Amino acid sequence: MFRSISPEPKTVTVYINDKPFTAQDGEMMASVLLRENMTATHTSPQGQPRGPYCMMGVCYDCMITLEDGRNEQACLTPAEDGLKICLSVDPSREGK
Amino acid sequence: MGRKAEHHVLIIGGGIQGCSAAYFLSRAGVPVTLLEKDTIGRHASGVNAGGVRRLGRDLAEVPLSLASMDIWKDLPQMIGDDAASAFHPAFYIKAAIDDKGRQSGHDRIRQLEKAGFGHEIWLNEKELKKKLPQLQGPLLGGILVEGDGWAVPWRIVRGFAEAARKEGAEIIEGCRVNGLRQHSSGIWTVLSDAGSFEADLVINCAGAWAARLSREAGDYDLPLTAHAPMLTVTERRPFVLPAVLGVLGHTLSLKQLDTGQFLIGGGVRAKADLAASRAGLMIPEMAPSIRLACQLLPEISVAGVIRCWSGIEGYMPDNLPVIGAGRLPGLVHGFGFSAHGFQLGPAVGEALADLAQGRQTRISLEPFSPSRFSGHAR
Amino acid sequence: MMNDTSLYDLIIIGSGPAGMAAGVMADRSGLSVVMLDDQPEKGGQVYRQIGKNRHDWESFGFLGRDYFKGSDLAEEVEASGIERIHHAHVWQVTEDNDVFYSRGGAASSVRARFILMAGGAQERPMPVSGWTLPGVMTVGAVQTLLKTSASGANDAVFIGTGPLFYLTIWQYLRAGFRIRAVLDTSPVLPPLAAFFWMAPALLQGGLLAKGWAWRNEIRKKTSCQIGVRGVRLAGDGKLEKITFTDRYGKHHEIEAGHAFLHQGVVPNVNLGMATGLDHRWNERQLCWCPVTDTDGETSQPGVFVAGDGAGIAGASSAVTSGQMAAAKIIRLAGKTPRGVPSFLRLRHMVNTSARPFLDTMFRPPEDWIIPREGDAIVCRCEGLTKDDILAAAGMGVAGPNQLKSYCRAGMGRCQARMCGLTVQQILAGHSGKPAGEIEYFRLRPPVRPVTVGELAMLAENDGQKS
Repeated sequence: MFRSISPEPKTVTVYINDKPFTAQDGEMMASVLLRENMTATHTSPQGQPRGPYCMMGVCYDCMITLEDGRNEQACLTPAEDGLKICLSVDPSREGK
Repeated sequence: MGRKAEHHVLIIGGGIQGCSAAYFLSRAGVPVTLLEKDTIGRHASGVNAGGVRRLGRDLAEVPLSLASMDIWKDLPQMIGDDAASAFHPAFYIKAAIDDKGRQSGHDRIRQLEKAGFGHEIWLNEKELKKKLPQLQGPLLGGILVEGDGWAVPWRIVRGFAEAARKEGAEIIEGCRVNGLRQHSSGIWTVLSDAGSFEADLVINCAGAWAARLSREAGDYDLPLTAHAPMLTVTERRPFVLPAVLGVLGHTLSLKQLDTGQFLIGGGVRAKADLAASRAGLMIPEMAPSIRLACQLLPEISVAGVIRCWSGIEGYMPDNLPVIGAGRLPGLVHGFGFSAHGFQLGPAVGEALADLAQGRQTRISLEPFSPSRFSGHAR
Repeated sequence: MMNDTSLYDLIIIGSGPAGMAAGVMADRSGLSVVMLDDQPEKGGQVYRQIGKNRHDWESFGFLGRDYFKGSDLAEEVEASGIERIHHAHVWQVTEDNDVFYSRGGAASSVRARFILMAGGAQERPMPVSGWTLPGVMTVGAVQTLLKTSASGANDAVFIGTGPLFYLTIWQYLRAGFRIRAVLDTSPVLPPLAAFFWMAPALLQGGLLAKGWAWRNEIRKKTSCQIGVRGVRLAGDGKLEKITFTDRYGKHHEIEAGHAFLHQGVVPNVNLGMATGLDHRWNERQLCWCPVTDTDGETSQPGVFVAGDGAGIAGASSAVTSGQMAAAKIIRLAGKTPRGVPSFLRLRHMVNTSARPFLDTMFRPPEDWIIPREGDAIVCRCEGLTKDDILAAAGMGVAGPNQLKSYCRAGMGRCQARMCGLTVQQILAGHSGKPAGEIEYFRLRPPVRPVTVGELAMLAENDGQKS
């Protein structure tokens, strides 16, 4: 599970599948997800869970859904106060 | 390396027209060689939107289109279940979104009825909204053809090529034709990257490159122009559209594939470079069609476009293909399908095979005569 | 939709070391420069978030002094007149030098006389069995998390080889994270060919010495296995355990929730290829590179490539290659280049002198380029395994572009970034042809997904082009 070793700057509240989480202002959502132990965000065409892999926008496996319905890469979606994203995998499946 | 032949037919071009002609000929026991400069279905035939439609055809094309649809229904027997499964019959609707469109739709139905064709049915506004409740207005009605649908074009072309091979046709890819000339005996010598071939009859299915070939052979000088109609495809989305959708008086073709991806086309053209075999792409030019798709199906707005492409197609000034005997004996043309030749392919192939065997074709090819441009050989 | 019809002198795509260095010189020489980058901050990957971090040695010092070398360049960019547009996702460059990009869900375009593509590199795909499991990431991803939020995971397993591999593990150790194991996939005996390149490499002797020191420190401080074979990542819905065979053939099993993979980086060619630039196969680096002249001008006049996107050569080479491209652009624009370092070409040569050595030393062996197991996924987007690819290849395909018609390989969102090189190698092996003779996937814009709605909005602007 990912943890930060630097003192946290300004924080914001984001919503992942309607649950509130704290994030650093401007932190990429993929980083927030990993810190909250959500390593899967969507599924492959065969239904296999997938999540952040490259953190630089080339693998397209960190797909999340924005409030307007667009699918975007979590590693290129910065956290802002009130941002709502959806994962198409059930985050409650994640273990510790 | 000359190859002698007894009543040997040589087909130039491995698109749907050439491959289906090769199939029908070889099935009839005629020795066939097909030369394709790139790979089977590499150009227009393999990269189009896959529309398999009778709807909206030029009146002159309707009999050919209807005859072709009968052959589409027999596809499994001809090219096998696997290739034939690439065809998805559904229904096609061309919606009217303005008065002009509705008027043209009514005129169209009347024109067809007068000519004795009843395959296109008018749906009024209520009927259209019932048939496709997910569409957003304004909707003033539309034309429906049940049974029209779409196919994965490359698989169909490949299906015909493989079926032709099974019947004994020789298909050579990566083989460009560099010249052809006819001897006084009537025999053709075709010069290619794989050596020279001799044939009693040549069928010119070279698509956007066919007019040049015709001229080189000393046959008709035909006013074909080459362009690259463009397409886009989206990521997978939940299924909402069971039909292929067009719009009366506007450029749009919209369908949702079995993968859930939306395919948006309609025929907006980019530049084609024949020499380099390169199809251009000018994405902003597709924007009006794409905007129309969003208007009709708002949920498509958030779908991500993951690829755009185009294919090299040959267009005739009257939008009708050239199908028929050349001026020179032993030369038959089948090209210039102006971005709507895919569905016609099976019937065209059958007709070309008939012409090559000196048989009467099922459908009159008079409207497609190569001589109609009053262009003569140089 | 924002539409900039004014003509800039130069558009720079990518704000890593090459882009920054080029931009600073061009700006100083009087050119109007706009820099587009998909990240919120300049720096690219190697100097990710350097603008913010450079004042915070306390939190980010563990990254090492090389990272902080980027701060001077960052400062110069900030002091310059370069117009910077961040969160800009470039998806097309036309033959008329229009650059289309998306920002906040809206499409825009900007035009310039010259374009510099400085999009850098990406990780070489490492298609080990189970690499798509949640919890498995690249070492580059680890770097990004360290630089952007100083975050990491304890008890992870690092698998791979190469300079960036050792650098990252070294940084992890300095940051105080626990490392479960390091599985080094380098062959036990370095390839003989590497020694032929030692002599020129000594020009960058300092770099080599550093790498050598890191490698030794890692072998001392972690549970490190060298010459590892046959890695399998497994778990139910996420990574849970890793199995591998050691150099002696013995089978091992480790429990882990995170694995970090790396076997080198390759140029990010998607934008260049979709634009229609000529590319060539680089057999030593086993990747595609744009064809350019010595200053980085490509087959499309006015379009340049600099940095790792032109060929992998590291951060200091990226700077000099960016400067060389900028110098030529400035001269072509009719101005005098200012701020050109003395002996620029010589510097660039020195900066690239260790490259052949590193390339041969860390060349991924065949069984890491192509997965050994048939059930290992090759095309991530479409979920296709090596067996799927081989079955389609068995139908008789000339190359990847026929293959994709059979099995959809390369037709997903990533446009073959994750599978292209693997598919090429599989087809090479299958056909008996050398890899360089297999064509690559035919790439077209948009090079990244753009929504239908954004494209529809392009219809709002008629007469957008002046």
